[in-house]
Amino acid sequence: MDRPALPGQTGYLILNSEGAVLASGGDLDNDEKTAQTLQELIGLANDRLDSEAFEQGFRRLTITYDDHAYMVCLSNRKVYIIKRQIEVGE
Amino acid sequence: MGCCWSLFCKDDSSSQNGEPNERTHLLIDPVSNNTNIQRVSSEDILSRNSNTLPKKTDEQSALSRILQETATNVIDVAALDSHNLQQHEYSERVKMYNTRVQQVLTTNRNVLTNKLKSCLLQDVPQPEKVLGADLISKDDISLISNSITAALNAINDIKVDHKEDLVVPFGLDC
Repeated sequence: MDRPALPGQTGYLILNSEGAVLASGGDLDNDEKTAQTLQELIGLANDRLDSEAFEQGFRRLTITYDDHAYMVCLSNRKVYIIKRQIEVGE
Repeated sequence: MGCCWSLFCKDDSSSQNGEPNERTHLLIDPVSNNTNIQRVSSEDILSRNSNTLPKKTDEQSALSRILQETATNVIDVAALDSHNLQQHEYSERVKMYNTRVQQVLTTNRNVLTNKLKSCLLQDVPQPEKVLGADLISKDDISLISNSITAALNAINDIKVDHKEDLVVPFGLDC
């Protein structure tokens, strides 16, 4: 995969609009379970939030844990998921 | 015993009648056996002896009917093979299947676009930029979680302090 690794990135997933894994690597190598969970989470967030109540659309969805975070964004009709390590000082 | 006799009798009659060949005879035999078992009774045998001709025609029609049913149920692989070799039929089917595939694809495409429309996130040109941006700071996270905890506690503390009766009689002197 020719994607440049982001700082602190430990894994990535790229899904198509149906939720199928197109590419993956690192911690998330072939992690279809995480892919499905996050895909469902996007749908759930869309059901719970009224997008018209916000002035602009959402560009990124971040699920933050104590030491790592999942970041999801949509680009070119593909869902990009990145797992990032959180620095202690960050 | 009677069953055996009627069977043999029928065999004789069919062979006497000059049925085409042994093959059909073999196919039909077990089925006709069943019908014979249903019919067997002493009176039946007697009547069969006395008027053989009408019974024979009946059996002939029954047999031909069974033969016809068997023929419709049998799948002749060799005949199918030669049937499929028609060139124009082949191309017709190719056309039909192509149109079907296109139909399915277009309906699926509609489903896909609907799925994307219902997506919470908006399409961004450069995912690396968005994903590489700084994470939300620890202070903000603690602020959010603290306020949510406070709100949750407040909701849990809500109590209803009732002072009047819940059921009130209207226009009735108690």
